[in-house]
Amino acid sequence: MKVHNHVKASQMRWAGILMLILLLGGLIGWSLGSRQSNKVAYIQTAKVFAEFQMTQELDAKLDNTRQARQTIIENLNLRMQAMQSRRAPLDSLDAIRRELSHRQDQFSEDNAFQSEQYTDQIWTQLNQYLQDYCETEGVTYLFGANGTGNLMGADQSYDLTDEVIAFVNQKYQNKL
Amino acid sequence: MMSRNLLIISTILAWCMSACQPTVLAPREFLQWVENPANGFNNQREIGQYTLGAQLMPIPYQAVQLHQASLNAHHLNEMKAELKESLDIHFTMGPQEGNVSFLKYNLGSIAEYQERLTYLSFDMEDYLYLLHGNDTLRPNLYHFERSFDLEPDAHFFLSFPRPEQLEEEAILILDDHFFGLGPVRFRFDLGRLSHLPALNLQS
Repeated sequence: MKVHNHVKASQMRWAGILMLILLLGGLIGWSLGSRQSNKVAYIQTAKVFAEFQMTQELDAKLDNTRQARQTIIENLNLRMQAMQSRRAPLDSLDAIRRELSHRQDQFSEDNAFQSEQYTDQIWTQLNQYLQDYCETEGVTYLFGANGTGNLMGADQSYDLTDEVIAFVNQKYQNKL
Repeated sequence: MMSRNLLIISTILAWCMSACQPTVLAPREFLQWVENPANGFNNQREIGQYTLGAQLMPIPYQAVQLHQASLNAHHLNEMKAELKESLDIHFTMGPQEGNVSFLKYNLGSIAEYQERLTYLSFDMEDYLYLLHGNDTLRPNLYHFERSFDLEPDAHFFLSFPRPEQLEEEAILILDDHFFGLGPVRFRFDLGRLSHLPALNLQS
């Protein structure tokens, strides 16, 4: 009876040790596995920004507005030159000179404001789509390589720029 | 042998006929079908701090919403006659997080509240349009439905002139400048308008 109990206790001890080993093995495996599943990638930020369809659309829109404003300035210039050549009264020449100067300042400010506004809008949408990309593709860290110190060098196999450009443009088009 | 072949052929024919029959849905199921984004009429987009949604409302969908379970063929025909020249969209905007009314979300001052209210009530109409083929359609009707803070989302009802020949798709664009979003697109599968499931109507 005593020998039987001793054998039983020894078996239980071994079973306990085996379970502990299995548990530790499982924990180590899980921890390594979870580390490896962290997907890290980078994109060339400037390229993504430039090839984002919204950037191209808003750039074209801004160019049109700038051109329209430039035409107004050129017309005022022509009017002023015409008045100068036919020796118009000084006060009317002064008035058009003031208007020209005022318009130039105003347009310059408006162009800068509009450009800043468009850039903010583009980043709002782009940031959302990059976040969506990470969620969809299971990317844990997506770095932006723009040569300003964030990421100065990387293996090109981690470069997802082209995939990301395709994704953000589809998102912008509401095709995804 | 001959009778076995006949049995197989008749089984295949019966299966084909049942597959070709339009799906018949109860009113509640019909609403769910139209609101399912996979069917091409509902679009939800999250951008920045906001959630935007656009639901194209086919006529039977509006009829079910109005008459619910008591909808009958007469009601449906009436609404078809009344709404045949429009493409109606229910548009929503709300904050992505929190339970704050969209009108008061991230507000800096009372003046900002007034400005937002004016924009949503009157000005936003000018920045909404529907791309249909090569045409840009402006809304015939724009209505901002105020909920007086009872829910976070702001609701808008838009009605566009319905083109005689419908293209396969149309894109609603909100060219936003007020909330810093820029142009936001919502794509609708118009081709499916002529293949809607049938409604199980009350006799």
